[in-house]
Amino acid sequence: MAYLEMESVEKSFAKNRVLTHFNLSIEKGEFTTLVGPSGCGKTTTLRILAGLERPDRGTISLEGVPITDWPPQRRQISMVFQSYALFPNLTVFGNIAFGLWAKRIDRLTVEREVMNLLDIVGLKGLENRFPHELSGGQQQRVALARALAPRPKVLLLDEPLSAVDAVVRLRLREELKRIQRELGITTVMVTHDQEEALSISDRVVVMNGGRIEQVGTPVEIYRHPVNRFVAQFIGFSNALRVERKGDSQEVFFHHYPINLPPLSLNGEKRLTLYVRPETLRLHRPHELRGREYDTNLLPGIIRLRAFYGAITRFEVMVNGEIIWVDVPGHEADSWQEGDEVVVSFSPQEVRIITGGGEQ
Amino acid sequence: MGFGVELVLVLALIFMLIYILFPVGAMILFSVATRWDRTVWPEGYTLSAYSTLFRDREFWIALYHSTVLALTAIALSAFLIVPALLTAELTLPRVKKFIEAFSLAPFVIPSVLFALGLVETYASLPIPLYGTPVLLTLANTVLAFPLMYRSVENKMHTIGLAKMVESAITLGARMPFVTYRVILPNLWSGIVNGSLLILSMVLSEFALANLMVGGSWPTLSVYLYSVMRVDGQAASVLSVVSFTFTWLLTSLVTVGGVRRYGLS
Repeated sequence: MAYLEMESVEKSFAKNRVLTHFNLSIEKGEFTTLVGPSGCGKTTTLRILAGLERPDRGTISLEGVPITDWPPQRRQISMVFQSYALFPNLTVFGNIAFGLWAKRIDRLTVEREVMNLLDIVGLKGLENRFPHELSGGQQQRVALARALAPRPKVLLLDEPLSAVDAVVRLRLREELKRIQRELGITTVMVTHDQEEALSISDRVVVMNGGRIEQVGTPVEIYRHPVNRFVAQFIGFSNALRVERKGDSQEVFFHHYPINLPPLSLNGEKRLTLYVRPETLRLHRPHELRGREYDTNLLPGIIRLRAFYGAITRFEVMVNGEIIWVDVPGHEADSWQEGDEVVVSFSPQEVRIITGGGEQ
Repeated sequence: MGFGVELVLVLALIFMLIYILFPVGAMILFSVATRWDRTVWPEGYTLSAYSTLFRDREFWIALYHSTVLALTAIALSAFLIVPALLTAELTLPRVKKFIEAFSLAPFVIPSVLFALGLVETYASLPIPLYGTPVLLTLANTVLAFPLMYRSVENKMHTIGLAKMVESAITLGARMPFVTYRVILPNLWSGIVNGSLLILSMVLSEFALANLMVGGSWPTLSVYLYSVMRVDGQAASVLSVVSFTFTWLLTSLVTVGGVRRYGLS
């Protein structure tokens, strides 16, 4: 049995069904991230785990013990809210000590624990400040330290980095991961930022419309999306609609032949291929002279280039359809808007999705 | 902001101050005037009207009644509204719409109608509440409801109290602890604001007091009315005293809150 489990959980608000037959298992010490579009039920899942919402059906267990009916106070599951919800009437020290005071822990232990946490989150010396005297990043650290103080079994983070600016966000993301590793605390985070989910988590849960679409490591989710939704929601993908001629394995993007890895196509005629922009390559047409009848070569014209720092994204028009190609670093300098190019890709980089599922 | 806009705003501020302070100043001046009906400014100044008022035993009784009435209405409305609002906010958000709708009722129903309704109802009931200060207190609490509700609800939303409470309980804190360490300190200024509004309302409320208890249990406003019929200057003295008394009480409550919770 997993450390934390949600089994067949269902939840509706009035007529709006938020979670449908939701099953999730989380191992001890794991950093799990729930990612999905707004309204997909991520925060509700977190609130159900914290005991702030009651599920309509299903069970939640922690260390094998059912806790579905337990009040939040008894669960030992702390939560960091999106707005931090710091207590404005208490100092940084008071905020962090709050959970320990509630447990009636002696003064010296409280002081030691708070100082230790201030050290961990890098806020030593600020213990006498009030929340309004802190920056957004510092407030976020106080909220984290406050949640960690009662030594919870599970830490829940509801979009904890959404209220800070991009630079602080990146630094805090790394720190969050470091602290989680150091303390080995089981953590469940909610985010709508897929990059955040991929970079910080041991496992990612992709949610949509109250259901789990896919659970896996960040690499699995990114490289092997199981369906159309995951392929399009996580990362950036080109969706190439291709047609199959007869019963053969050969497919065509417009009239260009595409070579696919061996698979069973179940007789479907129309397929969608998902190819990540960074797996595509650009060539000059003369470089490929004599190979015009090779597969996976799509001639087109660069319509737009956008510089993103580490990569440059090119918008290539192929037979009226746009294909995005990411080119790293200085390699991108030789390509300009209006250039005639040929886009190529390896069959191994293609994800094929038919109907709702994956092949 | 352009100079023109700034000038308009400054003029608006000056006009507002004159509009508010002019009658108050005139009232204060009239209360200490020896005579002020033949000249632009008072002919002389005296505090004799004040000493007459303070020597009147009826005044102290009325002041005592009004204070008891106001403090009871404040306490009752705070005890009724704060927990109800918090419960609605945390567990039954849909109920809030009904509370909100009900909170408007005392604004909509005229006081006279409300008082006559209560008098009619309780006079025919076998409950010994008709004509008593208890019924007046309860009626004042109803009138106070929107004032406390708006102040507390506004404060609750501004500071995001619901999330703070949720955060506190996930940290293992029980409700009494959360109430003492989180809810009361953070809602205090909202409760104080509501209390000040109720205090002013109860001290100046006349229709309910006159119709429900009248001269048998006179309040400050009933006393003011009886004085006004005899002596205009005594009425302005009483208004100044009532104004000062309200200001003193509100200052006490505010300072108390600052000392207790470090909040303004």
